[in-house]
Amino acid sequence: MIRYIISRLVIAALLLCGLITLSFGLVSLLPGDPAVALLGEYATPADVARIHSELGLDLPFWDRYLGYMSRTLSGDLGHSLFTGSSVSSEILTRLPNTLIYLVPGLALALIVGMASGTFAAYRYRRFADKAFTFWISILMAMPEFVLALLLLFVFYQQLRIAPAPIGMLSSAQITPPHVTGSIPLDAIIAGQWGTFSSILGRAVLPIVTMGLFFAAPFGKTVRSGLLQVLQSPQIEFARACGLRPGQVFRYALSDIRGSLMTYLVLLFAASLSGAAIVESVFSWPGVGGWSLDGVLKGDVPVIQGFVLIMGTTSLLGYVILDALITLLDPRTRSKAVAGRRQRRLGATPTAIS
Amino acid sequence: MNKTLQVRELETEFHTPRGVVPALHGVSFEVQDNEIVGIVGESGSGKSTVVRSITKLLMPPGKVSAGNVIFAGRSLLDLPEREMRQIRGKDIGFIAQNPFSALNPVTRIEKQFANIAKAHGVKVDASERSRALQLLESTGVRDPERVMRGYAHELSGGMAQRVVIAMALYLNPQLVIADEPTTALDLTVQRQVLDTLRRLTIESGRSMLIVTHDLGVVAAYCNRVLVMYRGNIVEQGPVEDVFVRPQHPYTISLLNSVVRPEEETQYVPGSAEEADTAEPETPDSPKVQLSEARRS
Ligand SMILES: Nc1ncnc2c1ncn2[C@@H]1O[C@H](COP(=O)(O)OP(=O)(O)OP(=O)(O)O)[C@@H](O)[C@H]1O
Ligand SMILES: [Mg+2]
Repeated sequence: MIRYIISRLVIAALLLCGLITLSFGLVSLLPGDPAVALLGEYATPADVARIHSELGLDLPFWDRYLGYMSRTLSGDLGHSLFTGSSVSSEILTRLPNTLIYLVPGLALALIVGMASGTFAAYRYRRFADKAFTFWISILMAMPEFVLALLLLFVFYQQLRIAPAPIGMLSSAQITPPHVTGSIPLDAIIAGQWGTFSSILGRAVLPIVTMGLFFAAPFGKTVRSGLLQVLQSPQIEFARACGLRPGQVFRYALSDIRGSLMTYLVLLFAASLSGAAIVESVFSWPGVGGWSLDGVLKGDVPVIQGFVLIMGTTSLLGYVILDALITLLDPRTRSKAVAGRRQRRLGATPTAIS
Repeated sequence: MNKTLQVRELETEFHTPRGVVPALHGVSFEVQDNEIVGIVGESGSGKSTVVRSITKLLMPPGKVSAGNVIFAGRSLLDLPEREMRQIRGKDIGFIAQNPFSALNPVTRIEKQFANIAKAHGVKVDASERSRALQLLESTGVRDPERVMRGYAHELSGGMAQRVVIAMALYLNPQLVIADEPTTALDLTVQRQVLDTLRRLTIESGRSMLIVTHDLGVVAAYCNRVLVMYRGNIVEQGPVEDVFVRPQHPYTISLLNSVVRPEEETQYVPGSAEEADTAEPETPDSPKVQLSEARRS
């Protein structure tokens, strides 16, 4: 068991180093010179050289690489070329703003996708299934921003029940006193529940956008997975034993559990990058919109910071996922725990098999 | 003798995108009390479809379009799913072809027994558990306590199939239906499992409907046989009658394809028996019985 955990941690550490290397390599892969991006086309060679030395671009490759690696590992992600603010503190204050709609959005996607996919699978080829398939294909053909704009059009412009897409707080709300720097967290700490619930109210449309956007592919996966397993000999035998429909469903679910979990983590990783678009539409002060801004300006440390935070979060997701899948399934668990293949019962030569 | 199961003019079809494909064209037969009936026929002749139609386990696009199934005085095709579910597992036990794909891989064997009991409103307690243990023991499972606490993947094929048999017999069904119960097992194990099955059905006064494409199995274990061909039962009767005096051309060719009485150790190439030729024939092997039956 301990050996298994250690082996996973070592793999995670190696992957993290790979990720940092990738992020370092981004600088050379990006078109253009950061100094030129910063100073404009008409910078003098002296200014360019000054910026190069400030950014450490004049140092030998290995010095730059090892310096970057050690700074990143100690949590220093550098400073924005344009605003000069620290990238790590920007991420720390903005990440909660993103998570506040992203996590509920994914939870919504999970619930809606699970329920509708299951319903469709059990009504295979009947009306409900056909309606489900129809809506899924429409949703899946729709880019995030179209969905967001559509929701805004209906709920803000027409029905007037959603707030305007102008960020997390309206100007009327008092900003909570600065403690952590993250507004939702500070509002909780200060006990300003009015402010906090107004933030949540403004998060509803981003949550619904994310929820619907990811419910579609997730629901489709649930449907096709269930359809397959409901036809399997395992479920036929369960039904032939007279198990109740609820028990049969649980057997079926345990069979596709692993692939559904994998798909959820994939969606989570995808949602982090999708966050940029949703945040732009809703002027949401999260990591997504901020990094999009950085990408458009060529703000290298910001891009690197975003790549790192996205990569690390996905990496963490995959490592946890892998461990969960291995430990939840007795077939792989026994191998992981014992570290060797278990002897089969009754497989000894003298046994009557 | 009473009839456990009566099937009358059963018609089943598959509604495929290319149209309605009939799979059974009016199948009629019965299973008497304390009798083993075999169904033989080539692949695709509709053997599994018969089984699924009787137990109402047919999945869409399959549909029973006509006929009657009477089991213990009840017309199964008219029962709502809720009542049918209570019959499955309790009054009709089902034995699957491949135990590894039938057993739940992530649930302990004892939990799977408990789930069956729970589904039929049987209280799960220590005495129920020891009944399952005894049943496992009587199916020939070694170290049943350890098997109960373990998972399916820890078992050998023969042991896993014995666990499946124990599950099918757990709630003491009157009728056991087995769809090719030994095809997934190797040859020596097949005999042991079939012997166990016969012992547990006939000696406890149960009946069994067994699907197989091995005529040797029919000769050795069945009282009566149904020969299926393209969705029809082309011949049925006591095993001796059908095998000695086959009436239908398909039955004759089926018998000829397995063994020729004049040169009984020669097998048609590609026949399922071929793999067995290396083994010396023992007097009680089903094939020898089959050929003896044909000679007499
Ligand atoms: N899901 C399905 N869709 C369409 N047709 C099907 C389906 N399942 C079975 N059939 C048809 O029903 C016929 C009978 O199939 P069945 O599985 O009962 O044969 P079988 O005798 O059990 O064969 P085997 O020995 O290979 O198990 C087949 O010829 C096939 O055309
Ligand atoms: Mg079959």
